[in-house]
Amino acid sequence: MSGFQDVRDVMDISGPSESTPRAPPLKKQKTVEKRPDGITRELFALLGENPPPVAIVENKFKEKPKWMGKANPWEWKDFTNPARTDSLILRHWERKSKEPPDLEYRFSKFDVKVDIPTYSDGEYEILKDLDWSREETDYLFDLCREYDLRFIIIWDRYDFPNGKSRSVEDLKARYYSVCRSLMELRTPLNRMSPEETQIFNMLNFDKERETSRKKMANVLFARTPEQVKEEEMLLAELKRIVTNQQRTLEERKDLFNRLEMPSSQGSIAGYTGSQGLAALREFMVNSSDKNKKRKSIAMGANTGADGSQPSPAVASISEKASTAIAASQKEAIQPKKQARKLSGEEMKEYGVIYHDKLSQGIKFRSSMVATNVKGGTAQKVSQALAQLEIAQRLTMPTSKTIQKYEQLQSNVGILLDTKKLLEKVEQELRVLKAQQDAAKEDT
Amino acid sequence: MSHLHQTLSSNQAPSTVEYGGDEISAIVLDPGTAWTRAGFAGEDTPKSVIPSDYGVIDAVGDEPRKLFIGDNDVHAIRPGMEIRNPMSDGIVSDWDTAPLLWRAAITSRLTTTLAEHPLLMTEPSWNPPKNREKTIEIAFEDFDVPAFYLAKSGVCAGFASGKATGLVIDVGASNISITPIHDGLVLRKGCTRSPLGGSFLSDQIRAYFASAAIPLTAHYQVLSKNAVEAWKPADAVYKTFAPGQEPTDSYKRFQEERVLTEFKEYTAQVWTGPGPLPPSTGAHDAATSLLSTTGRPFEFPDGYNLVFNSERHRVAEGIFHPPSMLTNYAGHPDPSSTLGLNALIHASMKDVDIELKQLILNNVVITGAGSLVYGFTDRVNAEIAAAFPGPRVRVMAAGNSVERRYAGWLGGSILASLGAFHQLWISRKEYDEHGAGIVEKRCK
Repeated sequence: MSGFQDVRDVMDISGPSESTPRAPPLKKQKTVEKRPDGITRELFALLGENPPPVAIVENKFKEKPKWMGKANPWEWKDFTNPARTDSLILRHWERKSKEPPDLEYRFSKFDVKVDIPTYSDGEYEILKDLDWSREETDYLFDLCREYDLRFIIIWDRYDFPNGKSRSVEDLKARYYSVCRSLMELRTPLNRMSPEETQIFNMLNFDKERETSRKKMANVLFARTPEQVKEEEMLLAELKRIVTNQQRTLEERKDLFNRLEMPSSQGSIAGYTGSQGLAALREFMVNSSDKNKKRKSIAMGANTGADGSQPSPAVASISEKASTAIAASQKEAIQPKKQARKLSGEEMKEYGVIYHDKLSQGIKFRSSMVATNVKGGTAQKVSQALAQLEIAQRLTMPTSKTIQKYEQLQSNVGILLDTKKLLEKVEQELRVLKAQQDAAKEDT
Repeated sequence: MSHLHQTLSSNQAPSTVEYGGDEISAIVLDPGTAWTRAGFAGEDTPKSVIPSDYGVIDAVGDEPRKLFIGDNDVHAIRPGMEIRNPMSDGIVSDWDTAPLLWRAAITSRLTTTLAEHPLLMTEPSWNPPKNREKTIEIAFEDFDVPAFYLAKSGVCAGFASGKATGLVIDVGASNISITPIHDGLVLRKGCTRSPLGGSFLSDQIRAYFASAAIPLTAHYQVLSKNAVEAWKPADAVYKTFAPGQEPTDSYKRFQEERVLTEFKEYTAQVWTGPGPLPPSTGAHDAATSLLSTTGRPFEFPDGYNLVFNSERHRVAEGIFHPPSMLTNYAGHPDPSSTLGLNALIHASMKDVDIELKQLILNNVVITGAGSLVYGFTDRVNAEIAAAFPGPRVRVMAAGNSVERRYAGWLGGSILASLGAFHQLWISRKEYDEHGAGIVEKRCK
């Protein structure tokens, strides 16, 4: 803006500037106002709207601080600490104030003591323990008070004259058992408030468990570098497996989808020729491929190949094929006949199994367990199996186990049927006996 | 009654934003074997640090015994002045002089009115009850302080690093001590120490010089010197003394010690491992080729200078592996029965509750001027990590050498400037009531 004005001044053009509307000068004023000290107007104008790229140091004195009034005086003052039993007078600096000087020392609130119960001679009769003398119990409680229940420190300092050597757990067990008994003694269990009951339950110290826990912690602590390394490696492996699991699952699903082929019953004889293959291809493209885009491309390729005149190579192949079809139909049956019948031992060796009936698609063997028993017995059979703690679904369903399982099922079914029959017969027998007795009495 | 005042409930943690300091102008005194440190509580460095060694000219005829205390006095050459030290094994053994030293440390720079300032002193964890009682007696009877407290230097060093739980490895002049602390209290069963501190390292260096026929001169013996090539004999003019005017042997040794300290600071280095330093097998030993670091030169006060290679590692190895210490001098520790630093740590951790082991190993604090030897903390770190592979080990050592040297004092300074601490002081009234035995009850 100002640059424009400079040009005007230089050219000595004054008329039009007056005729300009009032707005521009106003704007100009604004920019001038924004302009910081230490930068010329011309330079500032070149900068335009952007702020200056470097900070401009203003040579100005710091503003005089505004005091709130008079400085607050401090004084070297005596104080006593209510947390002390003697009235030791120490001195510290304090803000001078008109407030009464008997304000409590503000750090006395940190004088926190743990509440350790005390017991009378009468009460001790109930708290007796063969392993602990009264003196030693007193000694323990004194230490608890002195060290605010830091049992590790208490154990560290524990030195009862002519006493046994005690573990941390021994000390804890004794302390908590005394506290628990005392609590129960003073307020019977049924009269305790919920909070008290909670505390009471918390006082239950399981020494055995704690000891074994510490033993295990010790074992963990004393691991050798090799063990530590092995554990680290296993953990890394676990992490890897967990992160890969999702991917593995997806891959597996994909694989299963791929394996779900169209029905493969009937002989493959029809597909040995090129025409047959073309038909199969068309069928597969149409039926199994669910991807529309891929399908359309495949179809396009297909039509391109089919629609045009068959190339000589294709033609010659088809010619050969057509003659071969008749022969192959014969041949296709021939090898089947030639297949060697395997003996039972060989079947076992090669793992060959013949199935009576197989429906199409892929199935898990475990889902193919035939239910030989029917109706109401089936439910009873499964109940009986559950009672015997035999899983409904086998964890390792090999053909052998499936066979055994089926056998078991049918055997159980037979047994149940027999049992039912037996009961029926017995019932009939009883009825008949009763009738007989009645007839005897009558006579 | 003490419980009439309002206190926090026992399950409420104190606020962390609250400022806990309340300075009452207490004096903190940390007497060590090499140095006696004193200063005002709340400050970050002791204002007054004087050598614990003092000069003494015994009474002759009418002349009374003369003491020379402090850096300005003790280094002056005086015929017949013996240098002595009131401490042995980190605790006071000469009760006549120790209080004089303490008083000098305080009055020379801090205040002359001891009766106006509460006094906090530090003590090693193995200080016997008799010594503690003696200390409180001196504080109240001799210094006439209004209040007194005796804090464990291990705990204080932990506080200086901001740790109330941890393992404090203090490498002092007279010994290395390991103090496990928990909640600001020493775990007595885990306290171990062995005499492999700074003086031991000096003795090792001295023994090495003797075995390698390297002449050791002190600064005071040299009047002027000319620069010479490495391994060339010194070209210096030595000071001569008229018969009867020579300084004593103890003075000579004391001054030589300063040269050895220079050597420790500048040339000696701890072998950082892994494992102990390979044994020496003659002039060109395996270690020399193994140590990829080049030698470091050292110049003696008389200008004699040479480069030290594997020897500068060898002199410090005895701290970690006592069997490899040099034994060609009288009064060396027994190489077979003395515990090295790693064995000390092991012995210390053995008696610590399993619950705490993890936490303590995660807070290992190294203090003491002896730990400033190059490579020391790295070696300790490696040794602990190898000894305890399971838990996470974290070794802390202040990078600032002032903080490392005065950690015990600094912790005491922090402690004595806390508002919540002021209820723990033993007051004069309590001392008058219960006698010196109160120190056992109150300073745990």
